[in-house]
Amino acid sequence: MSLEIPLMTTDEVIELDPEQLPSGDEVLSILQHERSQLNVWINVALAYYKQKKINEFLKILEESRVDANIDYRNFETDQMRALDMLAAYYVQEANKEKTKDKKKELFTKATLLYTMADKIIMYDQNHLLGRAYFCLLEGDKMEQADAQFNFVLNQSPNNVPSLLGKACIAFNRKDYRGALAFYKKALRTNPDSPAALRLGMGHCFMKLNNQEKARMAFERALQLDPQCVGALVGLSILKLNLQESESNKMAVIMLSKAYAIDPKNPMVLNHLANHFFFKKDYSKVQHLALHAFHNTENEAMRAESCHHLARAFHAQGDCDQAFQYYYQATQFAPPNFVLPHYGLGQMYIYRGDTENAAQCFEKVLKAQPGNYETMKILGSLYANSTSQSKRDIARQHLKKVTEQFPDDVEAWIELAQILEQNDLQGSLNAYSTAMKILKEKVNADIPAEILNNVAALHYRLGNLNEAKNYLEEALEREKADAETLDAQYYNSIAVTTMYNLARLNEALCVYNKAEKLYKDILKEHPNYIDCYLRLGCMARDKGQIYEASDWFKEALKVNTEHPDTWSLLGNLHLAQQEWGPGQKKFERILQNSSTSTDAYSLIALGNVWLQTLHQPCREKDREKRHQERALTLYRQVLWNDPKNIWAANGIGCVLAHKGCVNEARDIFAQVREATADFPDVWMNIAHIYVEQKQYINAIQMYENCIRKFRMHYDVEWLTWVARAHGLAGRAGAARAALLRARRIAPHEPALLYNAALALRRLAALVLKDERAELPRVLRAVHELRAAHRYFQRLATAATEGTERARYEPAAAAAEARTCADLLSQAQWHVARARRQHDEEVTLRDRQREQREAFKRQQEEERRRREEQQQKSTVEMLQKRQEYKEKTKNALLFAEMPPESKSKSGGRRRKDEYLSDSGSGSDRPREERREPKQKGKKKREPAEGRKGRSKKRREPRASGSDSDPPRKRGRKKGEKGIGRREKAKAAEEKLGAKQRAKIVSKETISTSESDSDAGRKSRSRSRSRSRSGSRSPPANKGRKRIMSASDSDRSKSKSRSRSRSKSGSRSRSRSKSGSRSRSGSRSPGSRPDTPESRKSVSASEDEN
Amino acid sequence: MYYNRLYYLQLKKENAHDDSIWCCGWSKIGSEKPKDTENSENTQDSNHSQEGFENFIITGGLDDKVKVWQLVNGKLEVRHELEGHSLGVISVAVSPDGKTLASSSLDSSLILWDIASGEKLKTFETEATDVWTLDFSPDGKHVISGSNAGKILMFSVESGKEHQTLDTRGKFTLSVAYSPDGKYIASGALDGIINIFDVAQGKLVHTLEGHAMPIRSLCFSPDSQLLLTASDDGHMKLYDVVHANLAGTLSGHASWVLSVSFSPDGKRFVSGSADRTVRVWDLDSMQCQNVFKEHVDQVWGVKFNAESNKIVSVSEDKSINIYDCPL
Repeated sequence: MSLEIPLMTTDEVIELDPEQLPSGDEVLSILQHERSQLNVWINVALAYYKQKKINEFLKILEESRVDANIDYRNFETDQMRALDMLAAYYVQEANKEKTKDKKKELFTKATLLYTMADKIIMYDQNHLLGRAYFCLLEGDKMEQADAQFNFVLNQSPNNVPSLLGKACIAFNRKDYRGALAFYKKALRTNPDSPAALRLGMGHCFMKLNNQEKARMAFERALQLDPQCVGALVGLSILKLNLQESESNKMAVIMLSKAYAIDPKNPMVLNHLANHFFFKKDYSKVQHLALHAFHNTENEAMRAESCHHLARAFHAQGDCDQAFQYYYQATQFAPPNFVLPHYGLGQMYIYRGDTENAAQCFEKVLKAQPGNYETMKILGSLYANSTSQSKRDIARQHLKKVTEQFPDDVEAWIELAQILEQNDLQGSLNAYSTAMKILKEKVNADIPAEILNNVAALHYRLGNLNEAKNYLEEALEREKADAETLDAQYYNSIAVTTMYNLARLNEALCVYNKAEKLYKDILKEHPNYIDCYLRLGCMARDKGQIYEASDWFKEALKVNTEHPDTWSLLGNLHLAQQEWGPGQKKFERILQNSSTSTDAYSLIALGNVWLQTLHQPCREKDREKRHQERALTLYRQVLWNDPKNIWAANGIGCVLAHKGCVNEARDIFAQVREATADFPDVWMNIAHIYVEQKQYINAIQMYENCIRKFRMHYDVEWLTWVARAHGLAGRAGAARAALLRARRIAPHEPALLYNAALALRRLAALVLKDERAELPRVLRAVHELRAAHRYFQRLATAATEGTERARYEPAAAAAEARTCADLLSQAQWHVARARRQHDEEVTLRDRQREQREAFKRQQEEERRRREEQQQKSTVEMLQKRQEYKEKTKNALLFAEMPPESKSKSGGRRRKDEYLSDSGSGSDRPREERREPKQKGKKKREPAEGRKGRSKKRREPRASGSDSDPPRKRGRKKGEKGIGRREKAKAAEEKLGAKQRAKIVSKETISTSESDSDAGRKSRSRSRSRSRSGSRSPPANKGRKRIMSASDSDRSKSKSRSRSRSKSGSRSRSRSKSGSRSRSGSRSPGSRPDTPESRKSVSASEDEN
Repeated sequence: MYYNRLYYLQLKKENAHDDSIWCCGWSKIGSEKPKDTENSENTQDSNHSQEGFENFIITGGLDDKVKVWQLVNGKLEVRHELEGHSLGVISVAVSPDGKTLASSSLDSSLILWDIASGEKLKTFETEATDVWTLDFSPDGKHVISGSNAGKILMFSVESGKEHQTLDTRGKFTLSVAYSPDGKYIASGALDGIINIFDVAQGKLVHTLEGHAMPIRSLCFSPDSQLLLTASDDGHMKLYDVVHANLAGTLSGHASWVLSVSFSPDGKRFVSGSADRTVRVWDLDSMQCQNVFKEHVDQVWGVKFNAESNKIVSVSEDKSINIYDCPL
């Protein structure tokens, strides 16, 4: 078809071949000259456009607006066409344009033109379509575009362009089915539609996850248009997703083809970049990605390009660049594209910025919950966090990881490391799983670090022998590794393991070995401060104070500011009661800026002040001041650490000192709820009970505590128990407790004093008791004599000044006098008791005589009766004989025997009764008697028992020969009754006698005992006030003091050990921990991309 | 550590006393020819010794009683209950011929008993000083005791009076031991100082400062060459008596070592501790051979029998344990 330009004057036309258009200017001048109609201009322009002579096209259209002849009918339509055409062109250009400014410019031009067109015919279909596409392309006017498409479709339902537009909108709105429907409709309307339509369908199928159809659509698009880049890319992605090397290759070929067709298509570029990344051709990746980045406005695309770039840099180890690009990528990336966050997180880890890293990984995890790699990394990031909640998160993550991938050794180890902090058993289990996997699946040797950590866990759980085995294994492994691998590193681990082994030996009480190990370590590493400290502690526990001090000073040479050293030195002083120097040591720790809030030192100082409260002090002000000082220090600790139980305990002590017993009790109760492993708080609670006069509770508390903490040999504790017993009125128990203490510490004068006091009280009690029997009285007197001797000795020893007096010699002297007084009275008591005893004995003798007389009587009776019977039987026999003689042959024989039988039976019964009474009977009687006696007269049971037991033996001995065994036990009841009555009668008789005597005695003794009681009470009150000043608060206080200091690392063996132990252990732990981490965990030291990580772990598996 | 499987607890007597048991002893009396114990033991086999000898176990404790036990048919039966002490029996010592028993208690009384009959033979005059752990001289003529002022008191068995005093000029003497050859007396004090006296000259020959905590028990080896000491620091030390050299340090107890005793054959020794264990040690290797964890409270006393194949231990938990320790 040719173009015709009608000539103005003639009817002739100039024919133009659309294939060979003359130059634009020429045509333009013709058009202008001939004043051609607008439609001609448009046609010509179109022809130029089709020839891709854009400049001419533009020029003609622009000129047409001015010069074209619009003097014909329906010129508006042509005008519209011209405007729309131009606008559409600008829109198209704008769409292609990458720079924002130019794009904007073009868009404004287009807008202008469309607005002009709007004024001509608003609702022209083509115009509307053009406008709709414009809106679509401008990006944010989807709604408007949609409305316009709808308008057009209302008018002509099969309008292909608007169908396509609708499909496009639907696709962008993620309504892929809708989009697909529109495409299909368009296809039905126009079966010869271009490749783009198939391409769109292909994308829809992709999104709908219908890969097969997508592939078909793409292929069809390619058939229609072999140059269709979109289809090529789509197909190649499909192939890549198959993840087979063959299809990969195909995909790459396709991508290269696409690249050849359109070297600027960012999609192609990105995919190629991705491909080259896996080929490890990083420079190409950079090149392609950079191109892609510059060739797109789309943020998601840019994000991808940036990500590719970053990955390339990352893989090349250029972390700064990688960081920048990752960061950029995260800025561009849509929320579901999380890979850059992952990369950025790794970069943050590399930079040591764990917080930001954690945030990045959190984002990843949010987008992809349950992602195993991310959880693992987050787990290990949070594992080192200071906050408990984060560590909990870490634990959860790692648990999930281990659940999902039970073969992941790394995760198990990480989990074990986290659990080390609060779940030893769990940690151990995790480690053993890890070791099992290592052994069975990976077939690798277990790293020495893990062995060491496992040993440490066993140690903490108390499985010392297990720990030992593991440590020895670890040492061997380290030696082997040091030879073959990194000598320096493994030797340094070996030192840690040696140290742990030494600690273990210490725990196993193999001190020689421990000492040797420590010294060996020091030979190699003279700066290993913990060894000095442990050596010092061992010396201290052996009582070698000076040696200990020397070791600590050695440690100071290594590090003059080590707080543990100073506190150990301070504790040495405090244990020697050298308060001043001890205080200085702790103050020194606090002066150091880095340890200015050291809770241990603060509490120790508080304890020093608390200690001063226990010495009797006359000045009220000073006492108050010291209380306040102690309180301030404890409070300061609580300020820094609200959970510090030792500080709380200290505050409780001060409160108790101030007399706020209830408040103190509440505090102690809370502390004990917090931990049950803190003996001092148990003791303090018990002290409070004593204070509140709940002695039974107090005693129970003390005894539970002693049992729980196995402090049977702690003299002080025994003294408290004794005191509680004494106050509770259990003098005997108090005596036993004090004697136990004396057995342990015979030299302790205070103890001697207390023991003497207890004895004196007990003796006084016994002497006061009117009915006390002789042995008890004798014993009491004997003990009183011992007490007297003790007091005398104490009084003289104190005046000699040989021992530092913890008691007042005057009091001892006074007590000695009291004892002397009591002793002088004792004679009378002894006499009384002896008299009583004698009476008792005579009484019993008389009783026995009576009983024997009775027995004899019965015996006689029995004999008499027997004789009688014998006689009667003889008579009977005679009679019978006579009778027989008489009635020979006259009577039946059988009548007699039964009679005789029955008679003999009765006889036997009688026999039994009698013989029994002599022997087996008195036991039950005695038993019956005992309770009766008690009830009636409250006679001392011991007394009765003695006499009785003697008596019992006698009859049994005598009875045994006469007593035929078979007879015993029969008919007891019958016999018993008769007996009992008799016995009662006898008893009553005796009782009356006795009672009379006793009453008379009572009247005598009352006056005496009253005076005695008065004196006693006086002396007791004295003693109590004494003990008030000395023992109760002193003990309480002192113990409290120790309590807190104990609690941490000071005085007592176990305690101190635990503190320094935990310190050093944590040290060793952290060391080994960090080491093994660096060994096993990649993100810290070896930032990888996730993919390469995977490959690494895979290769590890292969190993 | 090497544990011998053959060690085992032969017998446990619960609640042997009413309260803590503080000391124990083992006596062997030849019923026919008491003089020849040593010889007959060497020449005859164990069969004979079972027939001709009587073994007694003596225990004393806080309940003020000294009990004499005998092993009858695998059961421990009380033969005598000796009453006369008060404030707790601290120590019992058996004379070399096995016939006499000396016991001391916290009330400073020291009493001699006849083991076979259970009769009280003599009460010593102790005046105001504390008597503590006891030991017999090898000739059986003297009893020695530690005391509160750091003195070692020697009592004559015959006269029942204080015969001689050795002054350590130190702290409370918690433990004493008379060497089997009769030459030395060793004492351990509260502050860990150990003094060795030459008996003949009556003077102090060595002062050993290896421990810094109370020495609650010490004993000589049967050949009198070695002195074994037990301290609250959890260690035991062996000293060469003549030269006062340290021959070895043994650790293994987690708490105070309260009692030590050599086996009469000199090959082993046994220790009891506040950590509730009884440990048997081999002298040659200086290694712990066995650990008995049969008590539930601190072990106050341990002793080998004359045949060196049994050990008795007594504890705060009121029980008596007898262990079989094959040679």
